[in-house]
Amino acid sequence: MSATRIGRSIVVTGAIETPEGVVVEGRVEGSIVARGHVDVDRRGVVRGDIVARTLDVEGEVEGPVTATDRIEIRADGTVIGDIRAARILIADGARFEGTVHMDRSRDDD
Amino acid sequence: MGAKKATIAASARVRGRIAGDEDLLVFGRVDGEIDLRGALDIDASAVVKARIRATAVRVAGTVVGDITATDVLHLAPTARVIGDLRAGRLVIEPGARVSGGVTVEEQKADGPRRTFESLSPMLGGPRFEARKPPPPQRATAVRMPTLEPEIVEPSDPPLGESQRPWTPPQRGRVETEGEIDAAPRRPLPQPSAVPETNKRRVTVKMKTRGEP
Amino acid sequence: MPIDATKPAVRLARGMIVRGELEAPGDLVIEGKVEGAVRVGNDLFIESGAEIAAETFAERVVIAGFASGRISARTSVEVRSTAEVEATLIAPIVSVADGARMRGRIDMVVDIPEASR
Repeated sequence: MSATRIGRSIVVTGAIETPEGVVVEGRVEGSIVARGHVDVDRRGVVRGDIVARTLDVEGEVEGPVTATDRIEIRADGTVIGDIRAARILIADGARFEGTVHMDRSRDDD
Repeated sequence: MGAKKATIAASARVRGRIAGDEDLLVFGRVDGEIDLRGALDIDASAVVKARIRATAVRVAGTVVGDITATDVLHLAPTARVIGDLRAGRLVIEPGARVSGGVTVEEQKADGPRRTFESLSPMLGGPRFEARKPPPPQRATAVRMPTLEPEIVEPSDPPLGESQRPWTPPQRGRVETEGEIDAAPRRPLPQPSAVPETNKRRVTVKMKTRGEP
Repeated sequence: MPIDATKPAVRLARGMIVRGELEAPGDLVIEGKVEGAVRVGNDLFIESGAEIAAETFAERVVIAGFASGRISARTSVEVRSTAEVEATLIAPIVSVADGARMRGRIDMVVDIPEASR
């Protein structure tokens, strides 16, 4: 089973779409639309939209993020942009600038 | 088993440009460009409509686009390629289907091993017609233009803006009712339905960490 | 038909030069030089050291020497590691070995499977 993995030195300029998940260890400038889990690694950078079922941010995200289920910003993580999710977890030390929209009624979008 | 390789999974699709300094496995779809200093493996399930440049390329799937491999280009029996092929070394296995130009020139530190010496300056194309016999000895060496596949250096402009050093966002800056304009950059390439993400209206509702 | 280089075939020896049209109903092995048109009913061998500059038709072609022009085969064209090719190759199967030098074209009908996604 090979998941989509944007390696550390990889830069994707454009749109990533997948019914599964994405691990970002490198850089994405554009958008990620996934129906699975998106993981922005400690050194990962995303400038653009992220849409996922669940999202973990340990790196940096600049752009609106939407999760049908849960978004977690870990201690090393940074999110600059609006967050929309049913559940949101922002760890102590995480950095966040944006608006939070909690949407518990959202099952599937 | 070593560290996991950069991968575009079978069900995934990337529209735009993929650049990097590592190996990449493609099982899914790519529309755009691939610019790699590393080995690119295009699996049997992959469909890549892109201009491809990499150090080494193995194709077992479908490619529509020109392929340039600094080192070896290998087409497996299941390869389907429409596009021009350029490589330092070429291997095409029986079964591969190809339509396009082919240029193979061994790349050594001191340049190509040797140039082609043409018996007659004919390079495929129109029907050959009988002509006056050439001089008895081997014809004057026709120096084919030296083809030098691009060696992508770290500072090479073709890698473009995505290779610009990343500057960390300014910490502690609080914008109210303003627009965050990320560091000025060129618009994202076409074609893609990528929404314009550089500007975001941000209403700060949460405190930033205590920094100046 | 499997290639058997030891089977008696028309052989154009090294040092021989043919200019014009060359037609062989069976196999043809070229060790010399041919310039013109070559039509082979069965298999065509261009040996290492041989040179051919021609519009070529054969059942199957194996190139180990220098070939330029347009080379068409009904079954396959095999480019060996010692080959130098400046030609357009037209055949349902084309194989190229590591080490071969080539500058030309390969023309096949390529069906692109359209992804259903």
